[in-house]
Amino acid sequence: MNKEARQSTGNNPVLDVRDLVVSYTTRSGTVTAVRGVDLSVEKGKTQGIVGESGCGKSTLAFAIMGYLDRNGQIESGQILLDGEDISNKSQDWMRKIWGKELNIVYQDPSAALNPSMKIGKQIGEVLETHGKVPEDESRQETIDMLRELQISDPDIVVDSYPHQLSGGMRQRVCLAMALISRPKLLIMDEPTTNLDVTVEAKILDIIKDLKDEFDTTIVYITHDLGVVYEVSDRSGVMYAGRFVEEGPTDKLIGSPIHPYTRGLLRSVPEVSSETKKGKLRPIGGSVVELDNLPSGCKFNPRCPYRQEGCTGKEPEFQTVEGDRYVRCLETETVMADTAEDGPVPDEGEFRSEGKSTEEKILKADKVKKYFGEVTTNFFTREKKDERVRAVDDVSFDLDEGNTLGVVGESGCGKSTLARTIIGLEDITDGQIKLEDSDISVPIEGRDQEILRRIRIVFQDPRATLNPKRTIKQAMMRPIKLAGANHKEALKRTEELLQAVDLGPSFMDRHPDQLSGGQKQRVAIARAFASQPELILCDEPTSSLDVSIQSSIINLLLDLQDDLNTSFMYISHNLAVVSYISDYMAVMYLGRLVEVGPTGDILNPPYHPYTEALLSSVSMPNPDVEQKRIRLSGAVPSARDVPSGCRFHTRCPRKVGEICEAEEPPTRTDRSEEHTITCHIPVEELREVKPVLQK
Amino acid sequence: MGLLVRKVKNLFNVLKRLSNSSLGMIGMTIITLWIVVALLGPIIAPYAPTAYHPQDRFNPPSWKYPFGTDRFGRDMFSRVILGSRSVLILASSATALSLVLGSSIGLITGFLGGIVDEAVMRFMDILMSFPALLFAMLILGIFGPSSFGVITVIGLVYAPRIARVARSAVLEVKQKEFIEAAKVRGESKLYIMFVELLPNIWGPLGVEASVRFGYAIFLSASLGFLGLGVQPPTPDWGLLMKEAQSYISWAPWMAIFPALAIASLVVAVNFLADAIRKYEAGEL
Repeated sequence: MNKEARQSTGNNPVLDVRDLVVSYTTRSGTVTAVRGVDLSVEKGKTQGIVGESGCGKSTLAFAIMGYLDRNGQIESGQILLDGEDISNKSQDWMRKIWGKELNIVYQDPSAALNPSMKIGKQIGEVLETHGKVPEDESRQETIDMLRELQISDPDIVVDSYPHQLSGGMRQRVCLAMALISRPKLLIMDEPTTNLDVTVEAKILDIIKDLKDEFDTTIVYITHDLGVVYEVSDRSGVMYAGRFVEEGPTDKLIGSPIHPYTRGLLRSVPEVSSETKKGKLRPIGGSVVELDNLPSGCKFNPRCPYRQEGCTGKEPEFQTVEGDRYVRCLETETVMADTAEDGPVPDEGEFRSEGKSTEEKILKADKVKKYFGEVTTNFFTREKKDERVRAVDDVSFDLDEGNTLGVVGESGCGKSTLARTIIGLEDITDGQIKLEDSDISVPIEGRDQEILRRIRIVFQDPRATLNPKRTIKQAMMRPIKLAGANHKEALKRTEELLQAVDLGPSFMDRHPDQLSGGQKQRVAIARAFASQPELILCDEPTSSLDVSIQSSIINLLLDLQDDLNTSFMYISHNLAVVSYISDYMAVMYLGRLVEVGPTGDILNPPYHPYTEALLSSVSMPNPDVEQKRIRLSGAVPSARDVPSGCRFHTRCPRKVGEICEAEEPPTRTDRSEEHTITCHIPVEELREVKPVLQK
Repeated sequence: MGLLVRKVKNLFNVLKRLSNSSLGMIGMTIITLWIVVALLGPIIAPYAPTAYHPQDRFNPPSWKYPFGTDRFGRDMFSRVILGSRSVLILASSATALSLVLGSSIGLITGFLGGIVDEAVMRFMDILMSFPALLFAMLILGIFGPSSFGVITVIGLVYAPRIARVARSAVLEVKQKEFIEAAKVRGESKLYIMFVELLPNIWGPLGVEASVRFGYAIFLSASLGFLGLGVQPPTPDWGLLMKEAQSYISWAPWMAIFPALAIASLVVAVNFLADAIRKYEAGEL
């Protein structure tokens, strides 16, 4: 059946994984993480593997590499690399091919590089270890390789240490290290996940170029469908340790068949300037636990197309349209259902639009937050200003009941802005007002009533709840602080948990008994506990899986509708911000370069930085055409900001000397609300072609 | 009441996990044995520890006197058994004292930081730079030997070490977002320190305290040996060693059995400390 079919397509695959089963031995028994995976990748092709956390994609990668932990073992199956089974080779044997024929690029380049070794030596080591070239030649080859990866000044970079390079540069060095020995197979495990979109876009470009040039076979693992769409020829979607769908990437993304693939694609918010947006459609439930799998199709508890037969036998891979494979019993029903939405449990509602009120809930006026102090040289009495200008002269206001989204690359100061507003950092200069109360003071100087009215939701769900306190304790405390007695607090806790879809059974649990998404729900419920008027959300979904992310976003919007709470939503994810916000602010190196209603931000006139950000977003949508703009370099240090316009060092639309010499003026577009801070006149910017076109 | 049941159950679970390590199991068994011996002392001991048997002076170990007798014919077996009481009480009280002192200091300095932290920690460094025994001798020399003095002195000597551990644990935990969340909702500093932070540093504190307990046994025995602790005729392992000193060449049993007792307890405590460390690191 399908196995033979699959092998006939790949006449001579570089990687051929056959019915691979991998399990881990844990204290509570054996857990099978990869439950029978077939995969063949032809020479020079890129195979994408997509899935949420816990689906077994990293285990698959480690099994192929022979890097399984001591408690992990390959139960059965084969891994053929160029026809030779490497699934049962010894470490000594594997050592000969690691780095030479088989290589891996990791998610975190700073952990993958040795901090005390120069770049040239680290890369050269790969060549020298495998005896391909003597030491003096390896240096030249390394420099050539770095140049290949579009690293400027490679002869300087070879003599640098990893800490002297930016994150994007480090990842390119890792790529160079992986590619220099021309491996037969290169595995990439989320190589761009930790990078900014602008950097990610560039790395993806490089990967696409290299593929053609080196004819390398790549297995690309990621949770991001947009990325897979950009780089891979074929893609597989993994769920519960198996592929549920596999096929050519454009077909898989363009017309997904398996309900899980559809669900994943649907739960990703798109960058779109339409003001009336439908609700996101999260996949119900959560990823199955591998030690507690449902019978039959593993996706059936979450599947909107579920039939009675689905709980019986796990479906086999079926061939569809010649070269696609789907593990679903109801393939025909699902395929016949071309409706955009499919049968989703809750009826698609439309979000109410941002209410226009006269009330300003938050006003920031020339807010500055500098770190460090001006130092004076003891002898020369020269003053040296090396303060980090994390937030520099930021002014905006936020209408009651609305959401202001703040976007920008990491290091642009968006988190510091939020922390300054809530008082975790003391303000250097400027004024912040919550309605009519001045809150330009740190927390210690604010009274309980002010504290009650403004709350924050943090990024890391693992750190946001005290591991030693039960959910009930965590929830009741802020309610009691707001003046409620024990009985009232208990009742309100139940209501709040209900509102975030957590039953009363969660009350006595500790945070370590909750999943990441559930913890974040508790954190949101806790933020709402004191009935605040303003909630600052600092990347609340960025460490969550996409299907969870969409349900959290829906939850925030529902609560906003019900309670008329105002949000300031900070994220590096433009799609999420554009989806959730009524207003957006684009931040670069401590300054707001563009502020305005979401629709205006996403259409011309753009600030050149906004334009570049928009064109860097990878979107899993074949219908959208995206303009290609790539920024050079990384965000400069906030300790030593560029003169004039801070963006001039990277700006693709730099006019000339004026950008370096003078601070750009802030001009308004047609509406007063939309402002752009740039030397280029708004009229000229308006002529720019839209980045995204259907 | 439910809470108490849960706490006991929790403790039981922890002990069960600790016994997964064979050394931990051995350590716990020996410690339990000594605690039982200390509790039931007078029942197990065949003679009163201070009863003279003038006709049986310096008897070697025999069925009548399993550990032999000393220069007054007192039964060494009974003396070793009863001696466990003072050692256990002194060492555990001293450890408890240093735990309370040290964790409070570490918690406060670590959380507040700044000049308070600098000043207090430098003072702790000064305290730590004295050799423990010398410091203890100095203080007890001034105030005169007593059980209470021994407890206080050992508590003081080891508090800075526990404070260091507590402080470094606090520095790590205080950056977590749940601490910031507590600040944002307007909790007082004391609340944050003792309700939010303290429960999260019990792990490293427990490891350190168990190690310190081992040292405290040793130090209290040493002070007894130097005559600065428990006073005769109360039996105390350190004191027994001191009494044996002059006769060691021809009545070695007088020294051997108290020494074995001290060694077994110290080793057992260290085994347990190691098991606790492994448990905290998630290896058990």
